[in-house]
Amino acid sequence: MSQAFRPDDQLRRELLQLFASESRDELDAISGGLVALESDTEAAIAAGMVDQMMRAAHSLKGGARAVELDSVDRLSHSLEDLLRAAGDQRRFDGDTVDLAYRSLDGIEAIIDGASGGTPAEVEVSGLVDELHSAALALSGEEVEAVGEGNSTGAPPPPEAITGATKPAGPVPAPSDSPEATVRVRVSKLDGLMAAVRELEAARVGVEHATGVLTANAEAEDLRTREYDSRAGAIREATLAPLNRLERAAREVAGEVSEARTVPLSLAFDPLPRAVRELARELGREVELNASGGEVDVDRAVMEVLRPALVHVIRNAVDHGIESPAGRTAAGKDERGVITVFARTASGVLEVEVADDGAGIDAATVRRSAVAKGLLSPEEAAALSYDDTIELVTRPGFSTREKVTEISGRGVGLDAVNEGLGSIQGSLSLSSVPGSGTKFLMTVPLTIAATEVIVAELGGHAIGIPLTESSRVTALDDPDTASVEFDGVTVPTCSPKTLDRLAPGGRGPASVAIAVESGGRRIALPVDRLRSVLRLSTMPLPHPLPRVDLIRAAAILPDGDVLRVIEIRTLIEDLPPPPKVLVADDSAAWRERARRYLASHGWKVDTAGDGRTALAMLEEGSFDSLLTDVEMPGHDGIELTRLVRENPDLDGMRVVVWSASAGEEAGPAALSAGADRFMTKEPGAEADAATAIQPVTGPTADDPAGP
Amino acid sequence: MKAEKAQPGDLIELTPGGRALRQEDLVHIVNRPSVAPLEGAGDAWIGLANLGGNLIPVADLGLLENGSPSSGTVMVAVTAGACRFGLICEGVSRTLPSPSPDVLNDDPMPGDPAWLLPSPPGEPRVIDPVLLLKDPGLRPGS
Repeated sequence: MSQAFRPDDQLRRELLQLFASESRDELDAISGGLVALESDTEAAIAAGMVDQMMRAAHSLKGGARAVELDSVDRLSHSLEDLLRAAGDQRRFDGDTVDLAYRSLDGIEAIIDGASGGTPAEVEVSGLVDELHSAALALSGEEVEAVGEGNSTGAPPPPEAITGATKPAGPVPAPSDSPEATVRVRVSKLDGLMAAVRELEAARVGVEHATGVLTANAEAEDLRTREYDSRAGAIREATLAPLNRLERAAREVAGEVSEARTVPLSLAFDPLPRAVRELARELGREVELNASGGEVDVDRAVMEVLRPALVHVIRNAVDHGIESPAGRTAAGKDERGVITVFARTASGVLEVEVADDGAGIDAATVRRSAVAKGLLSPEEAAALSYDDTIELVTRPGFSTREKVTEISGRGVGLDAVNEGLGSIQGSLSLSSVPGSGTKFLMTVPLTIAATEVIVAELGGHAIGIPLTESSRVTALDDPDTASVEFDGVTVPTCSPKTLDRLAPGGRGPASVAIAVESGGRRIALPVDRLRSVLRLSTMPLPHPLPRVDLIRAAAILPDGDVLRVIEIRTLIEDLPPPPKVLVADDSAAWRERARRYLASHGWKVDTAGDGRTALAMLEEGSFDSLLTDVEMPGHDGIELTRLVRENPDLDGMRVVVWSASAGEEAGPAALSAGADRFMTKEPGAEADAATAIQPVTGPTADDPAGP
Repeated sequence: MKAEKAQPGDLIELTPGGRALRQEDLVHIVNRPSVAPLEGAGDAWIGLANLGGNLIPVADLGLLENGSPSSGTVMVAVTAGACRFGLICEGVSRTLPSPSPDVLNDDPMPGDPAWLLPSPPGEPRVIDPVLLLKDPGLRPGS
């Protein structure tokens, strides 16, 4: 009789960690499916959700057996029974879903405890009994004691679970499948990525050495016929292998980078449950809409983004969405809506979380900031609405214990901000009192190599990511306050900022690099340009804190340390951008105008009706108003008149535009005090951008302004 | 308590004297490297250096001790838990035996930072790199 295989302790620990990792996917699959089934049972069943969840429960059970976690085996099996019974009866009511969630929590806690986390106390037998009873009740059978055979029998084959018939013909071997996969530990991929960095460094090093050889060959004092000949031969001989090495390095880097990626939808998976549970706990009705999850992101980015997203979503439910009664009183639908939208651009992933809740109460935030000693009462009073709400992402603004002090936001948003910062990401927000709040999380898609302009400032190397630099030009005057790029004048960074980058002193600037962020440009004067390199940069080494001017660092092929500049900090040298409010009841036009104006350096807020627009204008410090004519609340003509009657809004530039108003709208708008009336049509945004320019201050001809 | 016999070479004394590092905390002693400046990390962090292909943060011992930058030409690279960092100092002079615990002076001078460990009277004070990282001079806004 052969002896049963018993993994030793070390192996079991490793297996448990693997199981903990893969069980995450299964738990998420079941969790996400439960919300969908409860929300629209027929649609979710038709989409095969029950089969997918049962397959996930079955995989959990199989994995638990592999690592000898009997309690997870029993719970998974019973959960699978419940899912089958509920699916058969097409009934996923609140009690069933709650019980399933409690089982998932139990399974997760057991796995977490077994794989090195805090040991969990889970009442397994009680839960198994409950699951069994619920499954029987759904099936209309009498409740009996749980039979061991029910929970420990051999797992049914996948066909039995899905109900699918076994396909005819030969079944391809797993390795032949085009989608065959293998789990690889992240540490292995990290090791591979480190090796790729070395490969890239070696390639650049050889390139550099060849360059030195060539430079020597061209130097008069070293130049002899024999040297020329040998240098030329070496250069020729190294060229082809160098090119091959470069291609290979790029390919390997690309493959490894891709292998590290996971779909963003994994970050969306926990959201339905988080929303459901918190909404129930708080007595809210919340609908969650998520899109854009098909994007692939680096696993390291995902590790930060996933908890950050849950945090922001919970915050939106907890502090954004009002109670059903509150929403009804505010003229809104009882059910609040949270929208999660992801998009990519220029190697950056933007995830927007928007709610249609109460928005942030600036007065409460100011009071809280003063109470916490972050600001004096005078400083708080002087803050604009936008600057006030940004306080909630500041370290120390709020604590979990004091959350109820703030009717707006603030639970650990500073932690979210810090987490995103650790991967060179950021968190920003905008809010409209009474209408809702938007959080924008921006993170890199990958931490792989990027192309960087390497320049010298004060004798040290600095890097500008190529994606954030638009032009380079020679400087006639090293101390110039502005530089012309393609006929457009761009202000230079302040001497104070340059001194911070080169505290030991700077040489005369010979070149200026135009850098841009958020639609705004500034010129960075440098001593000289060195090269453009493809590099893997890294965050500042531990234990250094985050530094506002330096985003990352790298070692150059010649051994010099490269500091990669944080462009957003440079842009802060510019005066604040003018602020415009776009008032329009058409969401499409609002968004269209917002995008155009924001990409041209404006700070833009939007309002969907005249009443909200007026409240925002009175609360915020806007330079301009771009308003439609026909809107609920106050129409655009009335809004213009109210603005002109308000001495606090004196000097505001007001432009009224309309796509459909009658001929009398133009004279009426001008009569009410508008500076200009124009026709709203596709392509008119550029004219509108010109029309809304404040009479003094930055203009659209000045891209720093806009 | 029975004192253990001190082993020669347990400590490295830094010049001009008065400070020392445990050998086990020391990674390298190198000529002062080129340090890429890093403003805003903390007053005593002076920047980043390349130590054998690895990026390490560099602090100035003079700035930590008395707010004046060191004019020395030496960087000692030390370990503190899982991280490494460089300390610019005037120089290194000699190795010393580790003091036995029963001759330690447990009464440090007022105002001494916590990262200077007790030492026998007249002997150099030993720098604890882990505690050193908690110095206010190595925090932003210091």
